[in-house]
Amino acid sequence: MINVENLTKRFIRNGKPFDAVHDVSLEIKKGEFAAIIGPSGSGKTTLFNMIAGLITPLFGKIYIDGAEITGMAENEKAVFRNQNMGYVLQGNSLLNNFTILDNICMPAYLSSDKNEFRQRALELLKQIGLEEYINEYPANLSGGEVRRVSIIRAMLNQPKVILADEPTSSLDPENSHKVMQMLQDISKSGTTVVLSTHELEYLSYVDTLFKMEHGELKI
Amino acid sequence: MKNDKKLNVLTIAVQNLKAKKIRTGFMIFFVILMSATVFFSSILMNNLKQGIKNTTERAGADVIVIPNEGTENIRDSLFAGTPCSVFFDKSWKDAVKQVDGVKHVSAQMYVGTLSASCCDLAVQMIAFDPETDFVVQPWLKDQNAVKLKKGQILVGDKVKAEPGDTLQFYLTEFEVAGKLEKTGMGYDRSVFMTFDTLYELKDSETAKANLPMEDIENKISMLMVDIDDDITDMDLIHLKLDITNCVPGGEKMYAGSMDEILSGISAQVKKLSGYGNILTYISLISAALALISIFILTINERRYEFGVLYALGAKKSQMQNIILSEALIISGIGGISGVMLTYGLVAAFKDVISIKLDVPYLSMGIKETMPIAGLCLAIAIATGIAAAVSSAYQISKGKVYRLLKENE
Repeated sequence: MINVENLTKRFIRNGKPFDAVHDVSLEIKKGEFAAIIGPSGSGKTTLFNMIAGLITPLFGKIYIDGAEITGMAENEKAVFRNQNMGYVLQGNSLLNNFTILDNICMPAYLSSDKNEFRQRALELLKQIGLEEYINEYPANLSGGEVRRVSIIRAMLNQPKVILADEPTSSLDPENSHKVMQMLQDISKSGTTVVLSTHELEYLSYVDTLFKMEHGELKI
Repeated sequence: MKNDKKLNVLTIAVQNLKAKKIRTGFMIFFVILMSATVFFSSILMNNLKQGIKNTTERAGADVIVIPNEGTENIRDSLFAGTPCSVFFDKSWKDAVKQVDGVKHVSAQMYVGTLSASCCDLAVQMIAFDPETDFVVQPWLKDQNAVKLKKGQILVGDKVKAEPGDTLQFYLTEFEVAGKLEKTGMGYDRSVFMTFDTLYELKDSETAKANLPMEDIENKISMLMVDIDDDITDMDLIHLKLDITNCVPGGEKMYAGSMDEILSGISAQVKKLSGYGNILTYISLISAALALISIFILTINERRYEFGVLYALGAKKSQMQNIILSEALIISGIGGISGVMLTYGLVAAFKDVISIKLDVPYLSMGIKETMPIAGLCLAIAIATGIAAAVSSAYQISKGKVYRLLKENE
């Protein structure tokens, strides 16, 4: 499902080249729940952003469901991301000007002319027990609720892959378990889920582990 | 579900603006300020120019003869209806009539009232000689105005009196025989009468105290001269010289066309127009810069928001369209509001503005104002587009991972 081949991303730091990700290769299968772990600054988010097509690598290739995203133009990547990937960003990534329902539907607003997604959004909200908040704004939700709504938003377009960048960061244990359980359920339903985390206590939920250190994959 | 409508680029932009009401309000205010300034100054300049045109076209005489010292007073009276009293010796009329090339000469008398029951300000009394007049009467005839009898007057459009009313000037009563149509020049604040009617002021103590009433029958204020048809422009220059030299002390006399008499006003209008343009440009540039700055600052604040949209699969063109839509909504609402607000205020306080700013002709007709309103709206929208383009550029050039880092 996800094939990463010899991926390298170089930045310039203090005037010197610095490889945030260096020669990383990995493979994650369909329906697998994989975690990329490592301390802050180990290159997890850079690797995530490259898999999501938000950053172009210096070297290497990324294939998602057979499609090479590293060879795509900007607009192609945007469409591919919208149709095939769900991205749960770090922290509160809900748009404060929009209701919960509109936040969840945003990926569909950006692509689809159909209206059925609103029904799907409502069903997904029901599954996590937040259906009464559809017309609330993100400011009125707790941190755990915001994170779960972000996951729902990532699922709306029924993507093949969900990328979750530090989904449990700054959440209490109860909410962290809820989030991990949700991601596990999603992977069990056949969607590939990849998360990055530096919190090791929730790794019992995942199928596969990849460890990043100084931009390199260790496991 | 409360809202069943699908959001699109436009509704996303509307939602963003509604969520930040104060910021949106400020930006709209800047555009209102800009479009109102441009609209008001353009309307004013246009009307001043139209006023000069109206006065020139309405002159009806090839050459106007007035005393040098009364030139400015007569000019202001003709253009803006500012009342004046100018007198010179009636004998000049016969001398001018003898000049070669002069076909007709008709005298007029300009007497300013002190105050009047009809009006907030004094009005201009204009007396003409029905026997020789070739300027006022044909115009009155075009309007089916009644033939004036002794004691009767005709009032200009802005004089608050109707036919049948009685008006009092210098404590003397005059019967209003008719009301004239709007001219867009000083005539609108004037009353017309024959010399016979004006001479009724001889019995007024107030008039005697303020005007040379003992010798009034030998005084006039202006000579309207109609010249022979075959006079060329070159001959006209000589003819005007001949007129000024035809009487002893002719150096005190000024002979010129209405264009020449109004040239001072035209120059003032040009100067004003220049100042107006500078003010307009300053206001335009300030408002545009303010709008662009606010927009760029706002967009910088919202980098993470755009990063999220990009991560959700928005194309850069969609994000640019959101920014452009926000700018167009702000500039459109601001532009339309500025124009409508100014239109409403000027239309409501037309008379006050006209008096305070000495603009005799202030037409707010749709036909005249629509092109200016369209121009103001176009300027407002162009400013909005400039603000959007500069802001959209900020987003487009930014690396997405940097946009997303803003919230980390």
